[in-house]
Amino acid sequence: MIAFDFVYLRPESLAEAVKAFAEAEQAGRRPVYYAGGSEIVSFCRRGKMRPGAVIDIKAVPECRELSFESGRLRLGAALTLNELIAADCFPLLSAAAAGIADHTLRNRITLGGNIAGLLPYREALLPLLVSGGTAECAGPEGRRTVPLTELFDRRLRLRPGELLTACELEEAAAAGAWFYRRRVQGTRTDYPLITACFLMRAGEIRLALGGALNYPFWAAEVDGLLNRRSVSAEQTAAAVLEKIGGVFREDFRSSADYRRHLLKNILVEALSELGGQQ
Amino acid sequence: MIKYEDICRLTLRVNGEERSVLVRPADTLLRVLREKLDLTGPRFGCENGDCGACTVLIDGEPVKSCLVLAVEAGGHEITTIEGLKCSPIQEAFLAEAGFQCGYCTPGFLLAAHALLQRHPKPTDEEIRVSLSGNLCRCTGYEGIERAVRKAAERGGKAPAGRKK
Repeated sequence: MIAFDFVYLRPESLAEAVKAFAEAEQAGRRPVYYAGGSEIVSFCRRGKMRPGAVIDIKAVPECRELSFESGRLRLGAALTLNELIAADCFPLLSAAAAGIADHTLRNRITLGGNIAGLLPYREALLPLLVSGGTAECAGPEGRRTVPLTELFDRRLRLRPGELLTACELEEAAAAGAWFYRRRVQGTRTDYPLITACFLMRAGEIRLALGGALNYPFWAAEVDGLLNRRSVSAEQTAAAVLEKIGGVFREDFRSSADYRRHLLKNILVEALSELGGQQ
Repeated sequence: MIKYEDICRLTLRVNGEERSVLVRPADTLLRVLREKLDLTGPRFGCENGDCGACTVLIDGEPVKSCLVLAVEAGGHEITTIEGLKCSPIQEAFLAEAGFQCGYCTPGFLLAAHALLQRHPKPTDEEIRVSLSGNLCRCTGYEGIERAVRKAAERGGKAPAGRKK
């Protein structure tokens, strides 16, 4: 059980949500935005989080949108992973979403909750990072749209009181050739030793990683290495590993060396498959 | 804007009935079903979203009730194992020995029932994916998967010799 009390608020508009957050903060309630709740409820139960107000954004229309408009795909932050998988409008995201947790939890875990959450994996973020997509945020200073790669620095750098409302990407990026690998120690529902998302965009390969480090990883320099001509897949893999350096995650699931080994094999496989399409 | 604060009255629609209950906003649906509504079919397991023993259906979709706030479930149709009442999947679990100690069984039954409602003829992979949120420490899953296949083969009909 959750051993403390909080106020539960379910606003029906973005303006109401931002206002509710500001008021709760002013009242000293340490509010949190809430969507699927799987992370927040388990963190509250374990005492790792102690909000005084929970602001459920599932009734905010902007957070539930899934649309194609003017060649752009818009994905609301409160869409569940299973809704994204069923819609299958961005196949790499569908593949990454299907690897997260288990089928029942995916009925609750949302896009926004996964990518703006506190766990180190955040696998739904990876396809969006390589897609060149943008994040739409709303907060006390209004709404802003920011490239995800700018908003992301180990985690999404949201401003105080801000929530992620949606992500957008070009339809052409969503339809790009892709390569996905997820390696786990045991069952498929375990956290990943490594998740690698590769996407061909504008004739170039992009890569984002989850599980390999203590945070999702994307770097423009690594994308540059992936797209050099006349270099073998093995040489490219070695260069990428050198660039990432010694920051691989080490935990009870796997050593850093084993994660590095997995990534090397995945890189060679992905470059062999996607390389011809550059 | 909907707001719940302190101890509040909440109406839940569970197994086709309107049930009125006093809850705290921080109460999980699992706690409220078991401790306030006497529906003990959803089981306490890990209370962390890992084991699936607490699985219930909300609007026909399986969720882990230990990770859902009760106040979120207002206005939705909740189904616990008590609401299934000798469904074909329950009969198939009996016929195929889909359980031993039975602790995880309500969760498996509800996840399997939801799958068969969505996909009356699921593939083996669809069965495994749909049951991936439920852990069983007795059966090794073979009897469970066999039971789901049998229920699908029978097209939702109970085996002969058993009354629905």
